[in-house]
Amino acid sequence: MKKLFVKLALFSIPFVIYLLIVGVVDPFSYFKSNDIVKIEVKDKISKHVEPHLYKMIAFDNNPTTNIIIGDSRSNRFYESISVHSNKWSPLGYGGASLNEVLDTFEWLVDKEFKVDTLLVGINFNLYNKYNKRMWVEETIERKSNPFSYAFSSYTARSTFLILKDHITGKSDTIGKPKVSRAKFWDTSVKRYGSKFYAHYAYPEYSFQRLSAMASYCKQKNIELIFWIPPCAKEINDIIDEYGLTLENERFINDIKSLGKLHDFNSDESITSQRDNFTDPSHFNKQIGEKIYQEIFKNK
Amino acid sequence: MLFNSIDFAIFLPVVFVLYWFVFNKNIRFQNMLLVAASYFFYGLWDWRFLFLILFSTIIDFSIGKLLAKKRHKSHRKALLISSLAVNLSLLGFFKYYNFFLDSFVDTFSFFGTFFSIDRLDIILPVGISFYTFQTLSYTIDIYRGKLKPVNDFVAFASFVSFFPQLVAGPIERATNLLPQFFKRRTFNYSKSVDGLQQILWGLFKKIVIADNAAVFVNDIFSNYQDYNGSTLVIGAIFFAFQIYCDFSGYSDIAIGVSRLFGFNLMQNFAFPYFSRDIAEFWRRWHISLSTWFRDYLYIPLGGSKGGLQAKIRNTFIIFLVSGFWHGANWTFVFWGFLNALFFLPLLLSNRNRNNLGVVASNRLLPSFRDTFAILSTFLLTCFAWIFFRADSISHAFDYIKRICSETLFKSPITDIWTINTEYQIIYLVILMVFFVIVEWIHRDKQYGLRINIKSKTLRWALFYFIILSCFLMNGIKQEFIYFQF
Repeated sequence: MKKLFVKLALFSIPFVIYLLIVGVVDPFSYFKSNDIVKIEVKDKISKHVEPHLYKMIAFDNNPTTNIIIGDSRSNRFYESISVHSNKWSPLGYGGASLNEVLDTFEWLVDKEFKVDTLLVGINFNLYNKYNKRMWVEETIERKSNPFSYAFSSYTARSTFLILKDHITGKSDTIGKPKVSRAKFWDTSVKRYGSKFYAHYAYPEYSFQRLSAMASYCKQKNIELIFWIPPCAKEINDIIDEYGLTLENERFINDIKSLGKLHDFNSDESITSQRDNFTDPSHFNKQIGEKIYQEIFKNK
Repeated sequence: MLFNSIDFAIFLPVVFVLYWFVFNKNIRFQNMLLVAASYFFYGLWDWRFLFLILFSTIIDFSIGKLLAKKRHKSHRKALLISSLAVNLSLLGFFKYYNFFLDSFVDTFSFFGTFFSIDRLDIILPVGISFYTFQTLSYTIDIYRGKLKPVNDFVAFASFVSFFPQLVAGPIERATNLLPQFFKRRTFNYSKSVDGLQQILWGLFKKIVIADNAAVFVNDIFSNYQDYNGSTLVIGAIFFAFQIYCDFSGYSDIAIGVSRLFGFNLMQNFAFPYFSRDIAEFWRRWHISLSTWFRDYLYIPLGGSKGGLQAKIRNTFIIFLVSGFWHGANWTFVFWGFLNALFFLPLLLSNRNRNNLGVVASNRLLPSFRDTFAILSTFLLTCFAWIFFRADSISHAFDYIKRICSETLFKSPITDIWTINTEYQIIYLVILMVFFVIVEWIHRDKQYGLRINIKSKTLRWALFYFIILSCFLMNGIKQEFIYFQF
C-alpha cells in the first residue's frame, strides 16, 4: 500500500507544481482573493486568450445590474458606454453566436443575478441556424470547479503567457495587417459573406429562446433593449447577393416583435461612409458615441 | 454520481481509505462499508429509488433462501416465477409502461379506433436493467442448482448494489461476483496499479473520444436534412466511436475501481471493432449482456440446436429481446432485428464460429483479407447504429436516404465547419487515430492500456499525455449513454 501511495505522490508532483503556479498566477481571477498578478496584465493577456471565461468570471466577481450582451460590436459599444457610466458590464464575445448570447442570458437567470437593463446587440449574421458556436456552454462547464478551471487549455496558455510576460517583459502583440485598407476591406467583406451567408437556415429554436427571454424580462421588469449594430454598406449588400433579403426582413420583424429595437444598420448616413468603420463590420468610436446618445437620449 | 466528476474524484479515495485502513478488520465490516458507499453513490442521483434496490434485494435474498428449502419441483418453479415476475414487473413498469401504452393506442388507431389514455410521468431509475438482470442471475442459478443461497444479507446487498457496476454494468453473474464478497480481500499492489491504468483508459475513452464525438453526432443527427451525405456518414462513424468509448469506457472504469477494492469483474468489451464478422462482434460487444441472454434465454430456447426454423426463431428472439432491453423504442427493436439479419447467414452456413481467436495474432498488421473483413463488419455495425441513435425508425430511414443521395460525393468540410467548434475536430480525429492504434496494439489484452513498456519514463510520459488530453479536451460533460438503459 505504501508503495502505491509513494508512486502516486511522485507521479502527481508535476500536477501539484502546475496547480500551485495556476493558484499563484490565477490568470482569470477565479480565486478572487489572489491579486499577485496585476489585473491589467490579466486584462491584456487572459482576456484575449479566452474572453468568455475572463468576462464571466469578472462578472461573477463584480456583478452589475446593467448588462450588454452580443458579439464584438457589443464589446465596442461597451467602450462607448463606459465613457459615461461604470454601472455596466460587458458579456459580449468576439464572433459570438446567438446561441452564446442566449446561453449567457440563461446563465444570468440560473445564477439569479439581479438585472435592471439588458442591452442585446444582434446582427443578421447571428440570426442563422448554422451559426451555432457554443463556447459559453463550455465556459460554464470549465468554471464549474477549480480542477476544470485549472486544467483547461486556456488557463494553461494564459498562465504561460503571463509568466513569459513577467520574465521577459515582452508580450505578444497583434500587429496591423500588412495590406492596404482597400484590400483588407474587400477581403473582409468576402470572408464575411462566405462565413455567415453561404449556408443559411431560419433559426427557429433561437427565436423561441429569444421569445422566452423577452417574456422573462417582461415578467421580471427588466428593461430589454435590442439594437442592430451598423455595418458598412458592402456587408449589407452581400445579404442580397446571397439571396437573403427576405430573411433579413424577417429577422428585423422578429426582433421588433420581441421588444424595443434600435436599428442602426438601416441608417444609411452611417453605413454608407467607410470612415465610420474600422473594418466593414465594426463601427468606430464616433459612431459608438452616436449610438449611445440615440439609445440613452431620454435617460 | 458520474465517474468523470469531481464528486467521484473525492468519493473514491475516501471510500478506498476507509475500506483498507478503517474497515479492514473483517469482511463483514468491509461489505457494510460497500453497501453504505453504494447507496450513497446511487442516492446522490435520486434517493427515492434506493427503496427499489432494497426491495429487489430483499425479494431475491428471501426467494433464494426459500428455494434452498423447497424440494418439490413445482414449489421451486413457483418461487422462480415469483422472482421473475416481481423483478420484470418493476422493470416493465418503470421502463416500458408508456411504450406499451403508446403502442396499444397506435395499434387501435391504425384500425380506426381512436382513444386516449393518459401517460404516466415515470422517471426511469438509473441502472434498473443492469441490477435487475444481476439479481435474476442469482435466483435462476439457485433454481438450476449451480449456486447455493447465501445467508449473509449484507454480502448479498453488496453484490446487488456494488457501486462500480451498479448503474451500467458489467452485469455480473452471481456465480462469479457473489463468492468474492465472502473471501478475505488483501491489498495487491500490481492489481491496484492495473486497476488505475484501466480507470485512466476508461476516462480517456469517455472524456476525450465519446464526449467530444457527441458534439458532432448530436448536431449531425438533429439537423441531418441540412447536411451532405458524406457528413452523415461521418456522423454515423463518429457515433460508432462515441457509443463504444462511452460504454466500454464506463466498463473500464467500473472494472478498474473494483480491482482497487480487490474484486475481479468480467471483461465486458474485447475490442469489438476489430471483429471480422458480426458473430465475432457479438462475442466481443457488451459480453456480460450477450452471455446473459445466451445462458438464460437462448440456450433454454434450444440455442442453435434443432431444425432450421428453430434456429431462425431463436436467433431473432435473442436479438429482438436484446434490442428491446436497451430501451422502450422501436428503433432499438429494429436495431436488434438488423443484427439478427446480419448474423443469420453466418449461423445457417455454420460460419458463426470461424473467428474465435484474436485477429492477426502475433502480427503487427492484419492481412488484406482481415482488413477487408474488419472494415466491412465495422460498416455493417455503423449502419445498424444509425437506427440505434435515431429518434424514430422514420428518422433513421430519412438519414440513410440522405446518405444515398448525390450529396454523398460532396465534401463534408464546409458542413463540419458550420458546427463551429474551431479546431476541435482536428484534435479529435488525431486522438481517435491514437486511440485505435493503442487498442490495436493491445487487442489480445483485457483492455486497451494494458501496456508492457519497460522504460518507466516512457510509461509515465504516456500516462501524462493521456491525463493531459483528458484535461485539455474536457468540453461539455455528457451523461453516459447506457445510464438510460
